[in-house]
Amino acid sequence: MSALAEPAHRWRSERATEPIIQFFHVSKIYAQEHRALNDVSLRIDKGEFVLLSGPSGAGKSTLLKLIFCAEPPTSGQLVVTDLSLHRIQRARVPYLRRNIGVVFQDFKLLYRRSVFDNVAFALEVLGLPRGEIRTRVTRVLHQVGLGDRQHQQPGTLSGGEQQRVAIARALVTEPAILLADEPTGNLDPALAVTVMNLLIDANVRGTTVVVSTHDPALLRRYRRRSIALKDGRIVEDTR
Amino acid sequence: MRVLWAWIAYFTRKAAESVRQSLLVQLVAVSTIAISMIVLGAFLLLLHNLDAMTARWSAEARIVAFLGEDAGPSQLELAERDVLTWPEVESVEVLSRAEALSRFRKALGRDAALLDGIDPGLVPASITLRLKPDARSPEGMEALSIRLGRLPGLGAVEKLDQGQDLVRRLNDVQALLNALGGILAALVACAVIFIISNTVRLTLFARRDELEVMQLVGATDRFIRIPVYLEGMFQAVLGATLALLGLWGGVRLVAADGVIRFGQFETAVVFLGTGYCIALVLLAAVVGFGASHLASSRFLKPRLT
Repeated sequence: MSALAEPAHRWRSERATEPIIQFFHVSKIYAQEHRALNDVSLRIDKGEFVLLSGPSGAGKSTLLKLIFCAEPPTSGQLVVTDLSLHRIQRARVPYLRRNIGVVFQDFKLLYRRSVFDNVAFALEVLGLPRGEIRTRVTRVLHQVGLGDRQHQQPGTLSGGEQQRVAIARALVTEPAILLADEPTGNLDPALAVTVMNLLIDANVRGTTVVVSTHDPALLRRYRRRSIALKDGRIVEDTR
Repeated sequence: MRVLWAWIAYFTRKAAESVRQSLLVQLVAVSTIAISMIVLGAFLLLLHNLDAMTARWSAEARIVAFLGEDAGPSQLELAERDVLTWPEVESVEVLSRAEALSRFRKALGRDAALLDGIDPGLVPASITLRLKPDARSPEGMEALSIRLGRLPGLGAVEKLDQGQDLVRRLNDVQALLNALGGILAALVACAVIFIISNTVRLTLFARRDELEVMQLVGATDRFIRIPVYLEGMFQAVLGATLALLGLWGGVRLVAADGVIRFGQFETAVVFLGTGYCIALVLLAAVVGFGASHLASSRFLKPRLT
């Protein structure tokens, strides 16, 4: 861990001045006036590692959904990788998403396909040649420690391994931003550490990482910038 | 170019994968499309043959004028030159007395000896006009007969209309059948659109997890839809091809020698031309594309942000 922490810090100090995600008074209101986010303003710089914390229903998942355009904001301005999401055309959304890797608590894997195919899927969409897809998928699966499992189906893997497949799929496109929504929520503490280490590794290689969690133990273990949400508002932002 | 081929290969692979995943549904869809197309194809075949039959009968219509007794060959020549300038005339055949007698002999066959010793001057020379399709109506033929009869040197004029009245009535029936064919084609197109769009929606529903992940990793709308279009077009083209093959087999079965007989009546049966068949298959492909577009738009729209 300590071996990873130092280069990550050095990388941040060199490049941390350019914003990659910016919220300006963003609110998100669902049906029946439920305010999932309430006047949130926030700036995340390139190369940062941010932990989003708060109890269930605090607005963590909604905040992540707004970043990768799964939901539009009700009001306010949102800028991600220089694109104003308020004005973004529907046809441009896929191109924004190619710069954002997303890891879900429920993995969202395709259980009828092999581990390799699940990860390759993200590159097929980009139209890369098959040879390059093979090279990159193999490399990223080795990075997450699943080099010998690529022909298995996800259903035959443990929860931690499935989450690693999801991380590999998110990282294989070498995105500028990696969003992880409760990536350790279904995992035991030992596996949670493995998954968090993979996210830190990605951050060390230059990816901006935003992880949502409601696990206080994670916040204590990983001393990173932490943004606490409560009832849709930012109540604390510690660096 | 290599990139283009890679894309084509990828989309074809994806469409084939999708077809494989829901083989039974695809089979039912293709069979239903084929049956609908057979109904339409049989109707088109009937129209096509009716058209060919009336065209054959209609082509038989002609007017013959016989040379008067006191007229010479030069008048026949003048008459020929004259009628060739008439816009209604398709072709002209001139028969001298000797040629007419020789043809008469041929027609009598074994009884040709009956004509032995007959003076060739007794058989009149003639001029026969074949008319353009527009001029084959009874009124048109009557007008031309009068005009032909007025030419110097020509005597009796005979109209050989070969049942042009019947042809005209058949043409009226054909016009009605054409209209019915149009309605039937529209109904079959609606049925095919309904079948394909529902099959496509079923397969999209079965692949909804995959589509969600595709959208999450940045697949464009077009990237998701192209295999869907290919799948719909494949169903329609396969259904139409099977229908045409079925019809062709049916025609071969009913009229092995190319002639169909109903008691005393017999008529040649022709299958739809190659161009016609290609047009039908292409039309099916267009309908398949439209149906897939409709289904994928409805299915994907709420899912695409």
